[in-house]
Amino acid sequence: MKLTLIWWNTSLAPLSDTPASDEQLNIICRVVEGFVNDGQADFIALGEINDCYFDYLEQNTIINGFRWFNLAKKYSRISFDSCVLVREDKLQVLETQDITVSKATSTAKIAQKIIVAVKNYDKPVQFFISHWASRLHTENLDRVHLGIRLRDEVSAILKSDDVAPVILLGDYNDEPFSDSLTTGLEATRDITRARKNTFLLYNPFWRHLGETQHYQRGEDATIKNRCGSYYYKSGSITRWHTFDQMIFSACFVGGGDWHLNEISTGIINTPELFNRVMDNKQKFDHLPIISVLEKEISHD
Amino acid sequence: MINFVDSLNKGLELVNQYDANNKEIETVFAELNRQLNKAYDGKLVIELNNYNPPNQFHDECWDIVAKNPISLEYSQETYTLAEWTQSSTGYPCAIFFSGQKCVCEDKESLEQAIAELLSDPVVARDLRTVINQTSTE
Repeated sequence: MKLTLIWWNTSLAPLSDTPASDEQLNIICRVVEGFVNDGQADFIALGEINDCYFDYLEQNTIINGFRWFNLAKKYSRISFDSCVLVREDKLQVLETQDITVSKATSTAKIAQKIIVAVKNYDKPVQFFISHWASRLHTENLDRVHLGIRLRDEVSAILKSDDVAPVILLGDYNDEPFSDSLTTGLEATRDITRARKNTFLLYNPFWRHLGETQHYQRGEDATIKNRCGSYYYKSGSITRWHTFDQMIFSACFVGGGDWHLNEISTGIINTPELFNRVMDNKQKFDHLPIISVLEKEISHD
Repeated sequence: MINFVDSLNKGLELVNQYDANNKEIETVFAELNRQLNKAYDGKLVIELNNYNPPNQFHDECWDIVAKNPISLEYSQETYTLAEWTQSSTGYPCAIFFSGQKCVCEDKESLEQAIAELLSDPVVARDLRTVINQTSTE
């Protein structure tokens, strides 16, 4: 059995004064259709969604066999902005929970927890979808704290089952090497360590930090290559960051029945999507990310 | 050689920290109930409640409950408004209600989270039921 997971920050910026155009929304519809038809996606999480955008996407994306869940929610001091689509003959959403952390007058989003039943698998898979605020907007709550509080959620699950299936994904506005994800969340690049110490999480997106192409003498210096998942054209040291990641518990790296297919895990980089991110006239600045999980079907 | 006394002192410091933070959390609930008592003539009390865990593998369980102490018939009946957890140092504490988990790092954020709990329509409906309980029901 195979599960294909996709996360994409759609760049719709629901809190912006300028609403997204129908053209932009239609592009997203076509991309999601591609996730399903070409990518065989089973679980798709989209970021920067509000109620209006959710309704439009649900009504205008032509795919079959999927159930849509609007997780966009506005609280007094914070807004969540995701939605999820699941393939109904494989997955069933059992429960969702919005998790925030507050200190003094500051509140930050930690994650949206989604508990999903998987066909022919006896344990529910617990997803944590995060869209952390940018470094400019965390005020009293330092970044490591976000990672620590997300880690608390994971630890509560692993305390009773150290090989429970837990998947974290989203736009962390932090790189894999940031303290929030290493020291705070305890997500490692070291798969041997993660396999031995089942409390550690494995972050395969360390592989996707740098340039996808090697430097070659004589190459046209104006050619742009992908160097992360998020593109900020005004970056002085780097225009690229790997803010979008999927992180896995030990269950998926030898501790359980599921196995992460790292060859099929990474940043989706079709020429069309890449060109849209490079195009200053378009609002897209994130590439989607994908991961594939495989499990042998028991014949007991 | 490990300094065991230092280790114990660190543990005792954390115990003191828990006591201080717990006392602060108690003052938040005390102020909440002082205001409710004045506004609703003593018909509404909201407090932390310790209940039996579902099985031996669960830690101690707590929730936030509401009751009407002056209703003779219903004074022992409580409505659960939210689940409650608290760390071993007092903060963070967390309130779970209506699909939301609010993790609070200090007194000010706890006050704000309780305010959000009270303004939730599902919770407010239960509170109205509690306030309206009389011994003739």
